[in-house]
Amino acid sequence: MGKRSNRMNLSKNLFALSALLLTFGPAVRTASADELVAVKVGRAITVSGDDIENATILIKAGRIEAIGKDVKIPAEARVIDRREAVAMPGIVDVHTTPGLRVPNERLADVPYVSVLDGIDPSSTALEAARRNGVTTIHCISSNSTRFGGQGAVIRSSGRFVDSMIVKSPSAMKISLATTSGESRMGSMAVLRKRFFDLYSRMKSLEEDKSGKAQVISKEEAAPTIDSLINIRPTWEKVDWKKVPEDKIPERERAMVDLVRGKLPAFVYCPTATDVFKAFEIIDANNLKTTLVLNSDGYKLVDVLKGRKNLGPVVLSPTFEMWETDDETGKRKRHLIPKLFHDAGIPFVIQAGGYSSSSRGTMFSRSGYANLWYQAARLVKYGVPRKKAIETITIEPAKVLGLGHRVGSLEVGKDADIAIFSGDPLDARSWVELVLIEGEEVYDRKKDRDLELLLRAPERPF
Amino acid sequence: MSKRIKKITRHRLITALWAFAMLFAIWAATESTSWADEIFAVRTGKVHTAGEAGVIENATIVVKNGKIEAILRANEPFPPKNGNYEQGTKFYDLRAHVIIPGLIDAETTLASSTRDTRQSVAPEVRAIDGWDFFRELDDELEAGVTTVYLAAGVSAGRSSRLVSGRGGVVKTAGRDSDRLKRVVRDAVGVQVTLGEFSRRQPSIYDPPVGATPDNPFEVLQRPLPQSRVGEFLALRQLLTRATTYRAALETHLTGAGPAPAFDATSAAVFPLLEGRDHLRVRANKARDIYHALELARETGVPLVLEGAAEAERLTPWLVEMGVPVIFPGAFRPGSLLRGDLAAPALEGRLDEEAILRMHKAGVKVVLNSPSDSGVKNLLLQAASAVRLGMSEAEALRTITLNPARVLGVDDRVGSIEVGKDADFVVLGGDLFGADSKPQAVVIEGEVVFREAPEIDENDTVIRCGRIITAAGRDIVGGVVLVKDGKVEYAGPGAFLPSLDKAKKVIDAVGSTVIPGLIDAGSTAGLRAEQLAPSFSVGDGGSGASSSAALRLADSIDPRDPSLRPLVRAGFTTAMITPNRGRDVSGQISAFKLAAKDTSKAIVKPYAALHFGALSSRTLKSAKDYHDSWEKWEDKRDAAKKAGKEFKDDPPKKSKSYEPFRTLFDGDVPAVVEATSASSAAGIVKLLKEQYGARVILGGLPSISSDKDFESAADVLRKSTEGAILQIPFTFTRGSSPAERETINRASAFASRGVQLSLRSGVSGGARQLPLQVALAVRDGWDARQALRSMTSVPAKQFGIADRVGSIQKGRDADIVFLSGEPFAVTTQVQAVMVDGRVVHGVGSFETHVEE
Repeated sequence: MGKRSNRMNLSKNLFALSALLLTFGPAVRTASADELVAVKVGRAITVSGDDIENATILIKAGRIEAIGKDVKIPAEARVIDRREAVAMPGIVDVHTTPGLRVPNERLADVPYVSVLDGIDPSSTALEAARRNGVTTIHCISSNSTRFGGQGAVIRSSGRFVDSMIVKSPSAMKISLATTSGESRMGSMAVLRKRFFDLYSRMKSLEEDKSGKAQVISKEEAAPTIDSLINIRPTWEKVDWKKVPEDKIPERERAMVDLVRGKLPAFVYCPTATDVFKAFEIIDANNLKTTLVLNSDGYKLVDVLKGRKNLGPVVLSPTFEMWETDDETGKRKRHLIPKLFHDAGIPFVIQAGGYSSSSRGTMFSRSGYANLWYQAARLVKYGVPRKKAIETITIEPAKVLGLGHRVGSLEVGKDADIAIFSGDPLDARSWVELVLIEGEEVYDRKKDRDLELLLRAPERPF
Repeated sequence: MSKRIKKITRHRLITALWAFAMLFAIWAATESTSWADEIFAVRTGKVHTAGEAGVIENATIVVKNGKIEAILRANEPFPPKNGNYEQGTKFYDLRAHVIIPGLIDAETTLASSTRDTRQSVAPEVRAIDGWDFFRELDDELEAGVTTVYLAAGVSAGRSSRLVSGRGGVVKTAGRDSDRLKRVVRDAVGVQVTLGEFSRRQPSIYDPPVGATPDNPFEVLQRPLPQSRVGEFLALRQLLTRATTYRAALETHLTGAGPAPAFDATSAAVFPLLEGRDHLRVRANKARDIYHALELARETGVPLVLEGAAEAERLTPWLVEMGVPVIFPGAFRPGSLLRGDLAAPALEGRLDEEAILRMHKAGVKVVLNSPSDSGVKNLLLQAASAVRLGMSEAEALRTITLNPARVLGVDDRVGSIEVGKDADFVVLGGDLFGADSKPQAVVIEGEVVFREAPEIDENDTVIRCGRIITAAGRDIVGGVVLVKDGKVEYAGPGAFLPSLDKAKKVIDAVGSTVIPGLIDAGSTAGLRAEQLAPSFSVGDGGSGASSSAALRLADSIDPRDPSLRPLVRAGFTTAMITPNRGRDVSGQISAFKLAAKDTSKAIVKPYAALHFGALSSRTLKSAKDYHDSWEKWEDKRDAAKKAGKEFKDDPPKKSKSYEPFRTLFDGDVPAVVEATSASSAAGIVKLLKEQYGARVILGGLPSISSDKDFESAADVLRKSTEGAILQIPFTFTRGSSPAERETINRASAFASRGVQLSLRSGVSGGARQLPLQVALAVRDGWDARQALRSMTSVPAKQFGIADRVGSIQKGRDADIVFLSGEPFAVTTQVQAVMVDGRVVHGVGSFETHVEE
């Protein structure tokens, strides 16, 4: 099982079977493990350093062996000559659901499920990702949930899910959105109780030397009424060494990893005010968290500025919010990325307009995976170009704990490269070629779906 | 040498130290300008403290760090002897205003628009979690509400859960960007709803996926009995369960027993068991209320009732147990009581007199608005209690201190007392007065609501005791902003931001300001020769009709000293009218009496055509002239439309008849002198019905009998733009003292719905016109109506209402400052402003006069 030991894998075989039956596998040119590949491009956007004109990227065993103007190309190397094109690191999508048929389990509290059981490697969404130069995807359950389960970082290409995994589990999705028939108050009461129940459960598993279980020891007790009403787990009082691993129920393992800091959380805040609740849960349980904001996130600039140890936040795909003043009727525009940039709050972005129902966007260049377009909009709204490119490459890579592997063109990193026909932030440019670990996983000349798409739009205007 | 070095070093050291000290001083200075040390004082007209001190006249409230630092009485000096105040303390002058504590709304559903169906008994749910900290509560602030209670899982008139959670108390706005600081209490009361609304069962059945022995299939809610018995059983069970759990915890602590599993539901009601918090029961029926009281007596849990339509029957119980009641007010704006009056509880309504009877019997009363009304008006609810006989102080407490005590937040809010939060409302009129709308609201020393706009540096600011706009309601304690000679804003104006930026501030807090007066018929500024009846500027046309082109206003100099007495009497505009002729006598012009120059003086050169009498010959000729032009114009337009060339010569232009074209088109009215009711009818018949002109009747001196008033008023109301009256407005009739009777002509017309304006008909004597009007007012004419007759009515009659006649945005800043009520005999004109310039001023206004 390896990396996937934490998930319930009821339908794994079914998936494998369906994958085998599929005829439209990704258009991959299989490379042997040690093959040397040299990619010659007109310009390489390294992200880690300055752009390099007329660069050569030498790839060995899927890693970048060398990059520069005057890299010597060994005679045995296969040369990919794209001297008219621009190379950039494969784009990293930090928060999305492609490849999942249903983005959420209907039940709100399923911390024990993993997205790996839902990913379809043949999904058109993954195809769209490659078509847009996205090579690394953080696939995590959507926001209509409470404990939505564990996400995984995958490659956008592969035949079997196993071979696509970069990191699993990657993070737990916690959402503060309410489910039907539930108010914010009720949802919050459940969230608090869920953590406190886990706490008392773990505490009860603690064994003293005689093997006798203890819940509240005398010396630490002092259960004043206030401490009981304010249900806040005191995790520092749990001695994990005393908790036998084998006694932790299978369904609770992910939750335990969460509170022990082994599994980070992505906490979704549907409205600005939910951030206060997120902070309460995060602080009470020492969660390593990335906040996912909705479109009213612009109200939070002051709040987030004052927050210590805040990592980059995930902004809503909507960058522009209009607010109408009730009294004057005047409309005010909030440019969300600019507000965050000016306030010095680090952020990453999501692709625009994806939802389980908008299937029409799957085939298009934009929609599911249009991060390059989102980055171009960042520049339009006043974010410096360099930062905009970092926001879709190295920044999300760091958020996912993969800053050492992807997100820039540097020696030693995975050879995940997106090659554009022109400048990546130019709407007229096309993704020509995508390499993942040195393998060509997308070639526009072979993209038959794109041809179909350009010939006749799926949904006529 | 070494000494020198040493000296330099020492010098440098001192310099460095000095620099460091300076830096520190700068740092300290920047710190002190931040909120932390903010201090300011508010001079008030009157403070209703709602506390022990009652009402304090002319008090000064000192606010420091958002708290009330001191309340100084009128005779106490500022700064107080032992107080630590700086010289530059900022003062806000609210001497024309009344201050009351910020109001407390003891019942809102702001946090729970959706109800929870998850569990019937869920005291662990907290309303504060449903509260959107970014929600703007403009409606509440505008109504003066500074603190609100958030109910948990209760929505108005809809089903709720039996125990829906704990409420919260938050401020409606705050001075800190950290919105969490707006929370006053994060958990207060355990909300219980009794009666039909809570007996409907939630129907959620959600089995968990992959059931295991430790996580079995189960119905998340066990059904509860659907009756009062069942409800109370559930409540008792909740308290028993909590008591048992608590006992088990205590036993465990002594080492005598195993640890009980954590029970959030029980833990949430622990404060009830200790008597530190209350059970907040929402019930209407007397029997539900009785059993709630019984439960409280039995368990010792403190109780607060809300709704409680039938509570009066239980008055002795409520008094004995000291249970406060939160009543939804009986008064709903825009709706009258209806339905079965014999059974108000069925409707969830309350007999408003019952509230008072219970209050008098000693029940602690908290007043609230019915929760289904949009903007809550707590002041109105309290005022309606005063109407029925509650004292003002007690009524104010029902919406301030009483709810604060019930909610357990009276250490911070609920009254204006030293040490409490500086939350207060600035009212325009007196407490519960008809015009006492909140003009500004302060929370923790921060102005969070105000009606006045920001001040621009080019504005002239007039702070007024009272504004009579002549365009709506009066404003007590208002402000007028003037920009470029026009009124930019006129309205309530407490706490003007950036007041120090204003170019000019006129303090008229002791004055009443009114629009500049209009004399609807005057010969001001004219000389005798110009008024000769034969004076003509016509072009040799036939007979008297040549006077139609006469426009006397062109020959008046606005700086003519003879106009000054009129300005000093409060007139800013005069309708310059030629002397009465036998036929048409000339054009009436609207003229400003104290404009800067001639170009600004003429408001409307041709505002009306004046007739001494009507001549059918003149009218007919004029009509022919009008028609010939109309015909030619129609032909021209038709040709233009058809794209044909048009070569016909226009009719010959006549200077004498030209004004009639405008008249017959209805663009300006005719002012016709009439004497009796029957002549009025004749004039209207001819001019309006035959020639289609608009008519204003002037004079009407001989109408004095009720019958004549009635028939003249009938004509005036139906077919004219109104009348222009001239003196005498009242006269006495009858020879013997027994027969003597005062006829008030102005009042007689105005009360019959006639649009009435007033004129002097003379030049210099107009300065006595206000006194003549004062006489009519003394004899029974409504003073506001009289003022409109000299402001908005003539402005409308002559089509100049877009420029003069009222104080409102966009109009010329023609304003008169009075020492008292208009038309009080002793009222003095203190100052007059024309086009934003003070052209006359006495006393403290003298310094503002511009030449």
